Amino acid sequence: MSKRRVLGKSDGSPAIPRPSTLLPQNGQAKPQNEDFICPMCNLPMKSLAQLNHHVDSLHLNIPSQDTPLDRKISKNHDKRATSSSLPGSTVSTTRSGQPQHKRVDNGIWSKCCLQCLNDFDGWNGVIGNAPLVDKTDDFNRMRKTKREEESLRNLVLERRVQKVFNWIVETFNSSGRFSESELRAFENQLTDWQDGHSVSECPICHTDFGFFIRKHHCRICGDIVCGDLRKGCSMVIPLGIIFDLIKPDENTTSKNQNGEYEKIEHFLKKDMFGVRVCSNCKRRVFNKRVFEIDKLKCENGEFMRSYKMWKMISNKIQTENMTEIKNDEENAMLVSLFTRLDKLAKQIQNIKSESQLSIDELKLYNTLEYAIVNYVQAKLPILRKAQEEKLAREREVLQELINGKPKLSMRDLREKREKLMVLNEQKFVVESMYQDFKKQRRFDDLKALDSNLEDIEREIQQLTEELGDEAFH
Amino acid sequence: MNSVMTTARDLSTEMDLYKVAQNYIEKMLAVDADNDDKNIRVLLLDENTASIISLVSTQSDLLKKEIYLVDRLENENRDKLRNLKCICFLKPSDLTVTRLSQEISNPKYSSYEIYFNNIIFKSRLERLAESDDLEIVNKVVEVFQDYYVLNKSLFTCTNIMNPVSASGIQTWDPLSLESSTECLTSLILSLNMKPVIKYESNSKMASKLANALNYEMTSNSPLFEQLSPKRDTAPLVLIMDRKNDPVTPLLFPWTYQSMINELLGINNSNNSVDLSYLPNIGEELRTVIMNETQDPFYARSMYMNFGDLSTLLKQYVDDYKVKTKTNSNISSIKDMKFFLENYPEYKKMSLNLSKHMLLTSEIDKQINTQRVWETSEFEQTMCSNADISHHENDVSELESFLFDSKRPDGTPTNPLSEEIKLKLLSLYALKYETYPNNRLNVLLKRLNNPTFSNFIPILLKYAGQKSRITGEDGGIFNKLGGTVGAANQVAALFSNISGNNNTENAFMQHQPRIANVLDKFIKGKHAFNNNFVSVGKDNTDSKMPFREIVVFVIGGVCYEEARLIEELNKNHDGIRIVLGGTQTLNSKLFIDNLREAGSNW
Repeated sequence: MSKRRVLGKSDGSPAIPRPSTLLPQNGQAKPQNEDFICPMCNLPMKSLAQLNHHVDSLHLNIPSQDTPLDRKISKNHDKRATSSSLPGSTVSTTRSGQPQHKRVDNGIWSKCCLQCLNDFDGWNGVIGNAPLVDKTDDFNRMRKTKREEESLRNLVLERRVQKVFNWIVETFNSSGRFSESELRAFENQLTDWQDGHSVSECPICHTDFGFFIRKHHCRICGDIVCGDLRKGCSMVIPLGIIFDLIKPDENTTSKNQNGEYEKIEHFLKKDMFGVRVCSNCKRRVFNKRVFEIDKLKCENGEFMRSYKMWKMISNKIQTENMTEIKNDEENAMLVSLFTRLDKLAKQIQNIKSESQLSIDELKLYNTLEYAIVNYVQAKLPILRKAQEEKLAREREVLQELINGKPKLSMRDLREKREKLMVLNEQKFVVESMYQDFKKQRRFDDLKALDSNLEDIEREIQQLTEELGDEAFH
Repeated sequence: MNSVMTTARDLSTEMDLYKVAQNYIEKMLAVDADNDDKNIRVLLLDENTASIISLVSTQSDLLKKEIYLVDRLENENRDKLRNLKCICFLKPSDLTVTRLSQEISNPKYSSYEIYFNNIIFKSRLERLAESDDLEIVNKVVEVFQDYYVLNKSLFTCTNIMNPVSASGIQTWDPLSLESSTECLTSLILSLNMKPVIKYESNSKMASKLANALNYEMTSNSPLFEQLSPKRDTAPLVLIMDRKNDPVTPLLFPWTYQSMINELLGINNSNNSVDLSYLPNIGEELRTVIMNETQDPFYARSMYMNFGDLSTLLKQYVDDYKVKTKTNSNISSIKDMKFFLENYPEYKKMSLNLSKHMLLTSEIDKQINTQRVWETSEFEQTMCSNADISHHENDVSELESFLFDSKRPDGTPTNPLSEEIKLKLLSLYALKYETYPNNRLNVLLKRLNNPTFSNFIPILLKYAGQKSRITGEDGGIFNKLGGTVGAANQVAALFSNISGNNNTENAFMQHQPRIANVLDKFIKGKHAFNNNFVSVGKDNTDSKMPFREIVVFVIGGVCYEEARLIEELNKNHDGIRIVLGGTQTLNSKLFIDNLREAGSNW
């Protein structure tokens, strides 16, 4: 009987005229030849011959899931192997119908059966391995050509800035100070200045010069540019900043030298002398230095410290064997690591609420906190296990301590002492009887006495243990 | 024997676009295991790639790859964080390369690895190299993912406003053509394909796109030659035009994903559904993400019809109840512990459950208020056959919908919205366009509404009988498991294999045209067919069936077609098909696109 599904709606929507020729109506007319139903499309067939013809003509090209695999392979392969001159693999069908594969590694794979096709690299290997093209070498080559053009010019500029630095150091060393006019005289002879007559517009922002937009010479390259502060085509850079950027790294110079530099810096900060530099020279000479200094500063910033701490702790936890916790020490270690993580998360919360953070910094801290909290949550069962184990150990130790020192009440003590005395007396009596019986050769009775004596000795033993030091008072 | 089949499937021979995307993400964001505390990174995206990434990945996925900050290149308010390394995943467009050049000449981060999601022009790469004064760019790599992954086997272009150009019928808007070409180029590259391109010969737009794609392939031939491992037979890129099947987007679809898109709308750029208009909606459910890789229930139910869906959902609710019941009576510490340890899991499950409850109840509500049960049945009976002998019946039923007549028993009906009336009238107009006694003009006059009288001529101009492919390949009024004629026997067979055997559904009788077309290519019956022509030289054996097909529909695809493709892939081993289009459509979008563009034709 065929099912008729109407999308979960039970109350009647008028019946749609259905194909009556192919499928049986609701149970009324069953196909007469139930035996011949195509296994793939469920079409009823009148005879086996028709079914065979139907399968051959319509289902051969697409192997359907419903077809038994062995038939599919054999049919496909047989047909392909004979009719096509380029078989990918051939199959010989044995009498039992079980196909046997014989791979032939030349031919058209997509014509083969599924089993062969799935073994073919050009079929199963093409999807998961998405291609990419590395252009880094091309990029580096392009960058190099460009850099070579510029490097000579940059070297000249670099040398001039170095000259400024040297002049400051020398003048300061000889006289302890210098005046603005001295600086102006020096910077004017640093390089030849461009002739102003031929220049009508700023080469950087292309604004025409006029009464308000004046011509300025860059002291490093000598070119004429405008001095518009908003556009920043040129600006007066304080000597203090230049000095700070050019001076050699503290670690490479002597202490003496560093002290010297500090004095100069102090002097330069007091007198706000500056040198006009165009934006091109600024980029060429100073950018890299500023960039490197920034990088170093950020590398040791507060956030990086928190991040490194988090990585360190999580790595340590990772290296501990998480599945089984072996001894107390490791347990304690694990618990303390988690405590540190918790502390770190709290610290981050503090930083977030107390310091003035920029949007991106806040985002970074948020992500870090999220990472930590999630990590702790995910590892919570292990932590709990560790804690529990630790607690259990402690409890055990405690129990042992309690059991080790039984505290007996005075009454117990007295009773037990009395009992012990009685037992000892009994023992003495039994022993003397034992000796007597031995002399009298009453060996049968000896046996009974023997076990009696053993019982008494066991009880004495137990009592002395219970009483411990209190036994003889 | 069955075990052989399953192991074969496990080898992952599917064409799963999510896997391709994951593969790229793995490669781009690979972490250096030796320097674990130096892996922290920023991921810089642009407008296009932000959507591409968000469709296939989540923030916690990225965090696992040590991405602590995700930002957009366009955002000028980014802080200088010169301790952080930066990975860029960007589209190599002119604007983006300009922005990136500015970025690296005044860098905000310590070093840059740049991944472009398509082929980059040499001139643009040069421009970039020139601005790298500080030599901070460590890597420049092309990956190929300039498309949105919506389902395992469904993709769309990344920026198309209206796939039907306003500048004239059958002309491309230049930007959309560019985007479509880029989309297809990167798609075939990411699938390691050097395909044969075929297109529907009656479509100028398809021809143009096919040629543009071919041009990309020839001008980058070294790249295409390098692809490995090599196939021994070429896959097929089949470019189709929506105008050849205007019926499928107009019919009401009854499967979960399709219904969500039809009634609530799924956004292409992030697979999200906006539910914020609903009253009293919780913060977490304002926008919900429909991603089969992140939502196991959705993965199971997305292609189910409404009936099966309700059954499954009920099961899910019961399941949930059983699970929560065990912790509603927490009596022992052990129970409590169990609950606490599984709490995130419960929370996730309850959120997921309320998401699907919300969606289905909203769908159910809309189906009832819009009387979809009635209209859909009418649509289906009218459109699932090419027989025009039922005209009188159809027209009287249509009239009762258009003019909100009372039911036969005299009870008044809920009036239908203009949108739905327009849909029904459009279907009627398409079905009976050539029928000499059709009453289209009478109906239009009686309706006396410019919305109708403006749109119907546009629709017929765009996708009427004269604009469509004629003959066997052009049939748009097909029945699932159709009955009449020898030609349909193939289709009948086909749908019986692909669909559920022995079931028939009054609301899902119509079979999209794409099924019949693909059937031909899968079976190698496309030979000597003038309706599909190749671009460039075609060396393929004309009788050879295609095993791998990329279908691209200009004008947009429907989720119902995506379901069909998914079914084909699932039911046929050794066949891989992915479907794409300029965008995904529902009936409203299809009509709006056409109305917007067609007013100038």
